[in-house]
Amino acid sequence: MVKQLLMMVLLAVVLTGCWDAKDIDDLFIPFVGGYDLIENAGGKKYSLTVNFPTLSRNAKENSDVMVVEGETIAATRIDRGNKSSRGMAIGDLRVVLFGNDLARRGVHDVVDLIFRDPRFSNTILLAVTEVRTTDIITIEPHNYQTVGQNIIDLLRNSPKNSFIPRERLHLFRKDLLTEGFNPVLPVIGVHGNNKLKISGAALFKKYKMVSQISTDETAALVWLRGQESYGDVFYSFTDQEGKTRQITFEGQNSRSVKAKLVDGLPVFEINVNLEGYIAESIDTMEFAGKEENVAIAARALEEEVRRRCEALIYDLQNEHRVDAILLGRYARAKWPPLVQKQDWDEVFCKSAIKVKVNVKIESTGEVA
Amino acid sequence: MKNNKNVITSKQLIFMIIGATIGVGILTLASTIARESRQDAWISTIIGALLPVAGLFTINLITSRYPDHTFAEFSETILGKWPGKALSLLFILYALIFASIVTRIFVSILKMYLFPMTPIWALSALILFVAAYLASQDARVLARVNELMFFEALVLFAFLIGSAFQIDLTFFQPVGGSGLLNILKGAYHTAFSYLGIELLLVISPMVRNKREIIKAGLIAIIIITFIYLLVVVISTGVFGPDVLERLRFALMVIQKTYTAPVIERAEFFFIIFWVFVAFRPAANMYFASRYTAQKVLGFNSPGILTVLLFPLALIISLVPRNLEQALHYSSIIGFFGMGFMLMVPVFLLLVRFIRMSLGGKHG
Amino acid sequence: MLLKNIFGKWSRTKNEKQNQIIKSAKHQTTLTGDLEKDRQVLFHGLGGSVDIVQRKILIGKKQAFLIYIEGIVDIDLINKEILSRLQRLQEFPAQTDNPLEYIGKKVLSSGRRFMSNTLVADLLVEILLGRTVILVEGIKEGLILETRGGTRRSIEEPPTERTVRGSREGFTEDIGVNLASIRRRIKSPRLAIETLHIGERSFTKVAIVYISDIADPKIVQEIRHRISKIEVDGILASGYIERFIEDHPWSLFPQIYGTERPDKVVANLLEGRIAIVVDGTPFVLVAPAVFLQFLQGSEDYYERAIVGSVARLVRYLALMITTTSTSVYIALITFHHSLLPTDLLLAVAENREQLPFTPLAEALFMEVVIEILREAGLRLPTSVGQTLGVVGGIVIGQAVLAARLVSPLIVVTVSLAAVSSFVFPNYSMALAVRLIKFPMMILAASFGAVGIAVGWLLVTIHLVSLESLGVPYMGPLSPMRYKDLGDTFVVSHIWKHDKRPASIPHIDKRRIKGSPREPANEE
Repeated sequence: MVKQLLMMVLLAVVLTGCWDAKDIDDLFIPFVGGYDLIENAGGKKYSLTVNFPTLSRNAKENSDVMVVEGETIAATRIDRGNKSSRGMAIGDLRVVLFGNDLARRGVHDVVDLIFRDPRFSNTILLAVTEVRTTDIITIEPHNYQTVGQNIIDLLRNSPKNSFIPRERLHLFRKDLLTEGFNPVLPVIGVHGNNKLKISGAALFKKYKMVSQISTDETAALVWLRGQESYGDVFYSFTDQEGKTRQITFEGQNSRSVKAKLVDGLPVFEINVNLEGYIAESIDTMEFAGKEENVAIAARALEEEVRRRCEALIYDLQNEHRVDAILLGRYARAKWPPLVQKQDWDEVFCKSAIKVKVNVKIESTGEVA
Repeated sequence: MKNNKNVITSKQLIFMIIGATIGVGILTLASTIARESRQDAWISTIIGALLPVAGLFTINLITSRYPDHTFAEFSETILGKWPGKALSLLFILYALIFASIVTRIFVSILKMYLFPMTPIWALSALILFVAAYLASQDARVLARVNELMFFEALVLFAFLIGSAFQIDLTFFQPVGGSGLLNILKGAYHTAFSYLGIELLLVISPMVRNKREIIKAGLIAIIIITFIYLLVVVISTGVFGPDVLERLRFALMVIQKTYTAPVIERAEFFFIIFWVFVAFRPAANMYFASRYTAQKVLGFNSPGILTVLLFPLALIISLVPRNLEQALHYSSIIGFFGMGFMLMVPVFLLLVRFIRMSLGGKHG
Repeated sequence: MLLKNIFGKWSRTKNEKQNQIIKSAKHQTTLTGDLEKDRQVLFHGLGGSVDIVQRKILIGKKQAFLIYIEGIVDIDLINKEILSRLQRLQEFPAQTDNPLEYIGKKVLSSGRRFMSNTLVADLLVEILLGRTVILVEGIKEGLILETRGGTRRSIEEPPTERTVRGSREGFTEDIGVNLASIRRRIKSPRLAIETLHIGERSFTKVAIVYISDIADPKIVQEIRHRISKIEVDGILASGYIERFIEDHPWSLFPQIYGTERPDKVVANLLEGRIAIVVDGTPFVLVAPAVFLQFLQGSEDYYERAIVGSVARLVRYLALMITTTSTSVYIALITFHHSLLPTDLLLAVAENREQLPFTPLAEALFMEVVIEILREAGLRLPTSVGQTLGVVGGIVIGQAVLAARLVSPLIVVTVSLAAVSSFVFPNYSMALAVRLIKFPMMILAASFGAVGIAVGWLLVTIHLVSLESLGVPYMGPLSPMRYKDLGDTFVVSHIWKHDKRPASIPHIDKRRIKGSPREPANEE
């Protein structure tokens, strides 16, 4: 009797249900969203560009692009409601792009929505585009159904193949909100007619993009930042015999930092470790049985990496004036006042930073 | 054989206390503490555990004097029939409101993450139905389900371990840097997450081996503290205090920060296992309410009482206007909980002492 | 106590009951010695049907007659042994005062059971059981001869519970054969067999079998008590007994284990359980049962422990798949798309495009089709059944896909669930478990993953609240018997089972008293 009554209640609840059930075929599946800032005489506006696959077999195109505008990012949803024939499965968003203009003006107004809406995954990958995101997202790639999949693959796989920063939403938020941290995002550019590439990294001072650095500098940034990646380094050196050797090293990086305070200013010693093998050695050096040659190649690489790192640090301290290499992490743990009471980036510019590189060549390949 | 239905072992008591304590609070715990004591949230968590320990001993003071009587019975013996019944009625209401508000918070979070369009009443009814179904069973079944669910819920912590490799140890430095006052403030905020041991007022007469109640209680508190500590440490380590204090449901967000190999998003699985955890306080408190009501009314039909309490619980769960208000109510409930945990036993003991000494003089 | 309530419902009459077949005034009627009169009494007592055979014979010049029921007696025995010997008897020796006793002791060969009785009622019962009664002129007693027989099914391999490694022997419809095959496996004087007759009209023999120094006497008493309270006109299958004595008749789950395999019964007896053997059914009941027992096969222990463990884990997996896979599909499609990896999501979305039904509707449709196919296949002869399976599975499946009524994924999911439901070693559990998925699907369609979680919670609470003859049904998981867990999800080595499982009450704890694998302490 009692159980039956309770059962009735449950049935009543369940059978009148299905409020939130949304069939997949009533939804657009946006993989990539791009935010842009549009400034004109009327003031500033945001636009959101989404690209999504069209799943209907009768559709002429296999992907579609929608551009919606609004006063704020969330306000673009009103526009979307009018323009879109289907709901948007926001949970499926895998990549968010910031247009160059927007990033330079500061992404503060954009990220609130992404952080607040619980449907956004925190594994969303972020990137800045060299041009407006609309220009990137309207590209029609040959090998993908949508440009969205192309961008996802690019951002997911590139950090596995070369030294490129990879910033998920979770890390981005951590870098934005934690005192002494600054985010770094990869930059997506166009090459050829309609092909995408990673064309460097965007340095942020909190919400605001400060500058863009080249791909070579990006590698140094990744080593210094200590984000563990895998990639290739090309370098050449002249050995004792006077021969110029060109070697490409492929391997993995890691870092460790020693920090101390001297006369009120921090002194950092960054150990960059590289571990890998020789992928190519033009004008073949003999490695078989010649340990000393491997050592020479390693020393030369250490020298090269140190040079590039020091050049980047010099630029960071003098030109960009931003701590993009997460030294604030140590400062806030050891000397909280330096981070909390002062602008850490300024302190960073005055800090003494030494770079030590340690290269370990595990193997030299099949050639003797 | 009739008593057998409401007899539990001291081992099961451990799981019942854990079941009554760990619930929705675990989601908000880390960020709430971090707002006060930042990187030292873990210290606050440990200090906060002193509250249930104190509660355990005060409750034991009174229950050990009435080993075979439940709260409703000994409060009548001590205070007299009607005042005793009034106090029990207060407890019935407290437990029922506790169950409803916990359900409401639970449902609000579910709604936020998964069901933006589903009405609150439907979700509340669904969760309360499960709680009521369990509460209509006898204590033995309740204890067994608590025990089984504890082990099922361990999967939840496997999800936590999955994110443990993201921990950044520098987020804990400088240790103690947030100051003693802030740490204590943080500890105060943990108090609400440690409520639940007042269940002992009702279930202690059911424990088979009464001498092991204290031991079981302490083990339960240690396990609870350990789980809370795990949550707080991992949340702090993954987010850092600056991010953590700006998050609402840190534990849930942790699940969104990493991608497991096959599973694109871990949080959905997390929610499933979290349902197993979060309904338990509601069910246990519903049971406490139902059982006490049974004793007060002298009406021995668990099923009918459960059904009678159900609409009341459902309505209470719909009272808060939003999640904020529900959380606010839960902290008010928390004070009542502390009252039942610390003050009521002492008060009852005092009255008993006065009565006995008066009686002694007369005699 | 709950048990008492249940008994309350059963005990319609509190009288002690024995042979209820004839409860009329004739009960006390005795034989008169007048042959024709007695013949009439017996013949009408048996209802005067055409299968009652009465043969008038002369035994040593005395008028006598045999009465038996055709078909349930061993007719060869009667013709070759009994009749021929009786007719060869020329004359009773002069000093015989009781010719019947003489026949029993001297004429007919030994090795058969003889009894003499004077009560008509008792004789009728014996005749109905297949025995033959001889009456002799002028004697107020009847001689009962053991002639039960007739054609019965021979011992075969049980079709629902096949094993590769284990014994090929299955139970038959004959209780004597069944009891013998248990007895053959336990050659111990402690094997206790108690028999009762249940059924006012069917008068079915029911045996309670247990090992007296292992089984908990309280549970034996409980079973004895419950069975003896059954007053029904007929028991056609052991399922009847099960229905009458189980604790929770409204529950979906079988609370008593039915098996066709003697080796399973014996294994259970050795764990302290009690078997109930019912005449006319090859299914022997074993009680008390626990839920996990239904997922464990006897062959788990016949193979190596690792192999057995994998098989058992596969069964647990199959349990999850058969109950939840369809609802997980619904939840994924309607609520949690973002859970799917990008490529899979695209594939699914493309498949679902332009389908007429909601996921719940298509899932229900496919599940119903599968249920119909299963039921149809069950009723048909094996060869036709197989054809039907192929036609139903492949042709309908293909056609439904081609007509774009359902998406290919649901076909995969539903067939996977159907195949998984055949994995269970126990038929009644397989029937029960597959029903869980229907409410689960509705919950999933309304509340997604939370609905599935709630569904599982309700099932778990229900399972935990169940008891089989006072023994917790979810043992050893709930209440947790930590010592039994080693042999719950995986199979532990048989030589490690030195104690009997604690989840089943028993009085003799030790199972292994020595083995070559004893830990080498002597070193």
